[in-house]
Amino acid sequence: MPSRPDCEGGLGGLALHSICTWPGDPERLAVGISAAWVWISEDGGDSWRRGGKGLVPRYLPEEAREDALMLCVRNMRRAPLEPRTLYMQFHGSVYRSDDGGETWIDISGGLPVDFGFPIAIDPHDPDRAWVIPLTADVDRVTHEGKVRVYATADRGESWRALTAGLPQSDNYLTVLRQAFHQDGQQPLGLYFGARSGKVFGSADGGEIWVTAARGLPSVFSVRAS
Amino acid sequence: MAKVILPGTLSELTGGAADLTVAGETAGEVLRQLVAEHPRLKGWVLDERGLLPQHVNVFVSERRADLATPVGAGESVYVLQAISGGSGNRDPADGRAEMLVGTKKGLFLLHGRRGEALATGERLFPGQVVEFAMRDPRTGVYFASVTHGQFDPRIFYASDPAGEWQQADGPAFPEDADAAVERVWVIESGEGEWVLWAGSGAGGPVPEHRRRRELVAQPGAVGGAEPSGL
Repeated sequence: MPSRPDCEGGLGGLALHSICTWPGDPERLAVGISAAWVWISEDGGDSWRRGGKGLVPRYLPEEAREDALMLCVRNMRRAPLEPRTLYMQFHGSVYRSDDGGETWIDISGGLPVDFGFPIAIDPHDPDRAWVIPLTADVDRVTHEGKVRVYATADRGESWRALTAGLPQSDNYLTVLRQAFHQDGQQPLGLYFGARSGKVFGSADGGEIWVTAARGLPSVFSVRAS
Repeated sequence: MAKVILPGTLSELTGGAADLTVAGETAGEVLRQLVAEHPRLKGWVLDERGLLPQHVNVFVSERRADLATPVGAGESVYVLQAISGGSGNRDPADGRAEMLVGTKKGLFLLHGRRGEALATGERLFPGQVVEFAMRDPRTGVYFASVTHGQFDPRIFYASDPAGEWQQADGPAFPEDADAAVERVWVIESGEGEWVLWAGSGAGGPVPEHRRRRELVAQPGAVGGAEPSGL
């Protein structure tokens, strides 16, 4: 079993950026680490096993993929009402797990590009999620200069672009993984911030957006409180 | 008989008991019996109509449940506060929004109404990188991850963001790991009482100048955890 000495970090280093607790069960956790897979614990973190079957590291040559030591998880979130369901932004493709992170299904069909960082899940409906695609790992900006949030209502089988109120030209924004969040209310409020210093918000699940703030320093994280 | 598991805030109303054995064949029967045995829970677990309050969710085993959900012998019934992205302390009907925005030059609190432009309220940790900030939905306490090149990354916490922030002790790798916490990327509230999880980056050996950490204040029940075995 590969361990820390075998892992090399990506541009952000070895970063444990996603912590997915299991509602009602303090012993169960799943974490995502840049360049170092998904890890699952069922004893409160005393021991861990690796998850990630089905993730395809297309950034590696094909012959190197099967035994890849570096599986680069970019973001991972758990659906609170259905804890076995998780969504992941991988380094190339968006995935969903239906078994708590053991195995993963590619759900990026219908997205304009398969890179990105941010994910939000509807805490009231595990079938609903949102992503903000970015062009590529070497060009981490909103694709084609259009700020688009993509939504699924069927667990990633299909995606719909949400653009009302968002700039659709000449806006090459970078939105980081912790800079997209939901407020847990109904209808669901969504907010995301960019490294340009703008924050956008929606009070209706992303159907209509407004500029919530402008002129901030580079945004790293957004959380409703 | 079912096993009822309560969050820490509600177990205070049962004399500290968070795991209770209660009779009932449906979630509703179990919760009504629970309230009958622990009257202080009235209004918190079931409202005056005998229904689930707006911000309470119930799970039977791993399934979200309603009051009619059957409960088998020995099954666990979990009573949880509202599952939300927010603190769970905010009345959604008031239409207000409060956002914590971590930036390269400080933490910004934005206030306003949902679906509208927000005003910038407090700006905290001016000039410092705030990687992440959140408000614990269980306690309402604010937490911020602050990175400064000359010092270890630090977690600060406050009950009132406009008041004094305390510095937490850690998170840090064990001394014998000889590794430095590079950045604290995320802080999440745990399911266990008082548990918080912090995810960090791992760097090489601790630079000498960062070995001389200054502890500003001793925290209360705040801690971080580095998953072991990784």
